[in-house]
Amino acid sequence: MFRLRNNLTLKLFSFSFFGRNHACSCYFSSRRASCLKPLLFTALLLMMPTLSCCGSNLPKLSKDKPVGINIWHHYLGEQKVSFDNLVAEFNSTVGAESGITVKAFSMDNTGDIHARLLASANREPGSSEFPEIATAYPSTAYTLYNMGMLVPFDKYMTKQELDKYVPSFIEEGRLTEDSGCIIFPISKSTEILYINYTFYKQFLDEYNQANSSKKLDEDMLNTFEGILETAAAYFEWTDAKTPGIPNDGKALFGLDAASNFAIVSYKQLNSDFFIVNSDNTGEIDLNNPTMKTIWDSYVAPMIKGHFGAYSFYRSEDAQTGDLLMYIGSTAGASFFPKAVTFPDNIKHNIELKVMPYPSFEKGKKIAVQQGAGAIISKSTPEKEYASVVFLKWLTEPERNIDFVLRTGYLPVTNEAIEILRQKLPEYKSDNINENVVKVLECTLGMMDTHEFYTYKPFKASDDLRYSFEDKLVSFTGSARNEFVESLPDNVSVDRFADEYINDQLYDQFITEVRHEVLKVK
Amino acid sequence: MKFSRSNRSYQSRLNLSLKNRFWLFQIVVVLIVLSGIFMIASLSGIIADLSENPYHNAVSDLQYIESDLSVKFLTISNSTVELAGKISTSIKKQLREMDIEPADLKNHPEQLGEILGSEVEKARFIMEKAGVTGVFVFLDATVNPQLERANESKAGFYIVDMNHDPVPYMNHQLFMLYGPVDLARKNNMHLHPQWELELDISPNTPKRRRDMFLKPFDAAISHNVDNIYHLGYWNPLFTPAENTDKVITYSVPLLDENGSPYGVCGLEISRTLLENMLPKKSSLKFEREVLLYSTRTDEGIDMENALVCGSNSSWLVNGNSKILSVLPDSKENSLNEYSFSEHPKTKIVGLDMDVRLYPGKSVFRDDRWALALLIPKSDVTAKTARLTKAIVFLVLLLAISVIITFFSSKYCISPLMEAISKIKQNESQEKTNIIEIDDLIEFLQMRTDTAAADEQANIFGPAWHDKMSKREELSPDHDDLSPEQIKQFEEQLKTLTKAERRIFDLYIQGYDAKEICNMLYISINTIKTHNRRIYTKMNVSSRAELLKYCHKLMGKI
Repeated sequence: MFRLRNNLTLKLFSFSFFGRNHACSCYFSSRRASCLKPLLFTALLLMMPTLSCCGSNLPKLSKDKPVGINIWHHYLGEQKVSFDNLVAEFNSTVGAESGITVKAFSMDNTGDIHARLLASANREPGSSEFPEIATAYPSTAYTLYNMGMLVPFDKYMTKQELDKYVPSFIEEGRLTEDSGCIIFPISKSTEILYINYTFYKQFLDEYNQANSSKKLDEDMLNTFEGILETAAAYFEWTDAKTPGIPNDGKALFGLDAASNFAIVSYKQLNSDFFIVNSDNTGEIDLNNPTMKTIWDSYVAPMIKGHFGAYSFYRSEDAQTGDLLMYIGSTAGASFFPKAVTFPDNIKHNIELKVMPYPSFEKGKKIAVQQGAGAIISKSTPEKEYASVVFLKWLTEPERNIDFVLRTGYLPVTNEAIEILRQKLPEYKSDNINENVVKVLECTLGMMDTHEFYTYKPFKASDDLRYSFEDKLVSFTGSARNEFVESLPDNVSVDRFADEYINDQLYDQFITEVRHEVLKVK
Repeated sequence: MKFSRSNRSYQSRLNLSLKNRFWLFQIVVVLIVLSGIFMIASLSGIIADLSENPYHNAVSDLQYIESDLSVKFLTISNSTVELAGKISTSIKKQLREMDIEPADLKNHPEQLGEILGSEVEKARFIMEKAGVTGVFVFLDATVNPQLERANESKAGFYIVDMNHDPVPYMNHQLFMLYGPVDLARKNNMHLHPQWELELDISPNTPKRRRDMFLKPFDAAISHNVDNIYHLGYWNPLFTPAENTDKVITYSVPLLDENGSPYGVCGLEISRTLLENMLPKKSSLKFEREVLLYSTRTDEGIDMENALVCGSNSSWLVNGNSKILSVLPDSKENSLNEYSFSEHPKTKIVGLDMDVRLYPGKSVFRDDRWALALLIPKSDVTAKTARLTKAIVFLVLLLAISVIITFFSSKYCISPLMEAISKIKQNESQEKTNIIEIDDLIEFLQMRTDTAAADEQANIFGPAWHDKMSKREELSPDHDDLSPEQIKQFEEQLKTLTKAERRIFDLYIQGYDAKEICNMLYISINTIKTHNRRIYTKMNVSSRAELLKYCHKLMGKI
């Protein structure tokens, strides 16, 4: 045994080096309590960070260490201006206090964003760095999620916070059963019927005056069958304006997204457009009789010239006077023109009327639920959390309503919907586009009368869908050109169409579509 | 220091007391640590960052950016002149074939579609070659001269590429902002949401939008200049249509053979592209620095349509202020001070520099553009304060270290000094509980005892020495030891090593340290070591105390 003398340095050294086996334990045996106290205290100090972490899982943000967030979006025109203003407001208020700076980049359309995000995710040469936030459709999100690029936003939100949002929007953001909420709802939309009411009313009045036995009315536009009949009448009426030129009638109506029409039509008529297999692959149900309904309701009138599609978006066709009405996204409210400009530079101011998404006479009232949401990329916990902070701020009712009023997107929280229902007329002002207010009024009404539908993405679901749409559009365009070239001068369009648009043509269409979608597999 | 191997004697040149030596040693350690910290700070650039003069860096940065921008803008203006040359040649050829003079074009609206249609491909090519975001061609003609105010409507096209940062292998999707619809459809372009058929240059249109056409067009009318490059106009940040993003454009007139203008063409740089042309940060590395690019007047920099670049620029709130002006008391070779006339409390420092956009013979050479690097004054002040604080901190740290080392050295040395003092004064020495000092004291005591004994022996003879030893042995001090202490002493004896026991026995027999050295052929230092161990194990502090126990034991025996 060996008794330590009263030398502090030696004592500490020996204790630390030899540990409890050291004879110092004998020396300290009488002072065990006082020795243990500093030991316990040190242990507590070391555990403090761990204990504090357990109390709160959210990363710490500080304005001394600001976090930069890049967001890619697809907004244009007034939507872009509105979004840029919101970003600037965030940066100078909540962002400045929390140490978050957001920078927004417009990628002009969702197709571009999809390609750019994939290029960035695959680190293709010349591609930009993957942004912290991007607007994306479910199919893009699905692809990126499977690449491990995304983080579920509910990781940083409580259940109470999530419950504030419209349940179907949150549900759309859950890509799989265990993915969590991948797509944050910020700009949801549906489709409605936009009408150049100025010209339509003029047509209606003149036509009904000349055709008292087969009058048309606005209510006919609630059904696809009614639209078909109105379009045929419009073609005949415009053709009659140029007696020296036969069969030069104009198209009344168009669709922005033919694939939406097909998918929703199936649903309205109690079917599903896609057949999803157990291995998460899918195919289009081409054998379903609904496909013939789509043929009769869209392809045939397109070939006849009763329907039209001349530019990229139908709103552009309305801008040039080539169409009087079209089905388009509510998000396009600010893009509906205030005037039509004809090729001779004559402008006419026009008034917009909107009506709910039509249905088939025997179909249910169903419309599409769509709209790109926000996806958050995997990065540092601070950036992920900062992204969620920004998105929550953006969708707070006050700001969501402001964004909705300027863009035509749907409100994403229950509270915002309630406020809009009660106060929409108060929001009409010089600053707010009155077309957007009209669209919102119609859409809020549809929330009571219509069911909103969206399909869950599966492997290559978007490729299938757009492959079908591309073939539908190209087949229709070719058939129309051939129809026009083949149409004899002395034969009416309807008579010639009865011969030309026959079962063989339909079978040819089905065959070509089937061949096209097989390539996707 | 002199070192002798033979006798290991040390002689220091420094004539310092032990306390001062120790203090000096500690100061050296402190200085080494501080030097290390300073070196790390220097190598990591902290010292350089804190101490650099921002003025020189700002000058250097602005010169570089200005030079780079000038070259890029020169390239764009050259491309525009090239476009004008190609289009002019092509249009003149077409008009010749149609037997129409360029000046007479406005009377042939039916030909406009065909003429413009043939120029789209060239325009797109130049736009992509120059790496810009838009291209436009407007003619001094309209599709419908019968309309009211037809002379304020200009036919042409304006094509925009909103995908300024192209995705590899992906086709650009172009938008037509102005132009005939069938031109857009034939060329697979979208109609921009703000599409118009023709450019309206009526007074209702914002001035800068009109200037895109009117400035170069009117310059060509009022100046007799051969080279259209000298008629080119840079239009400051503006919106080319309602609710579009801001852009700058460079436009030149299209001239006929007589030098009269019949149209205008140009290229567009979007705000985003312009931001990408500017560096994200300067070498000053202030968190809130901004780069500003705008036109300048004699009053100051135009803020209304300035391009402001910076990741953290929200502090540059100008409200309704239109001009950013330099304060008159700005000093040479240091950053300028700026303020907004409507917000004098916003303190800004920085530097600005003119950007060369126009050649010397340009009609617009008096138009001035400026590039400015701006920082909140509080940030610069804070940086200077940090440097000052760092220096003050280092000086304070040094001073405190010196004071602490002074007192700590004094504290550490004081027991030794006290012991030495007591030895000198021959006072009885209590234990200091510092091994080395107690050991030294005992050694010195032993030497003293031995010397005294020798002296006594020399004086009184060996018999006296024996007598003293016996007296010591018979000292009544034996009786103050308890049985437990004796018993413990006996137990402790068993812990002695062989060597220690041998020495112990010799002590019991009355030999002193010197004698034991000679008997066992070991050095006095070895004896001292053994003594120390024996004393420790036996829990005594001196030979006398040890002998006390021994005699007690022997008495028992």
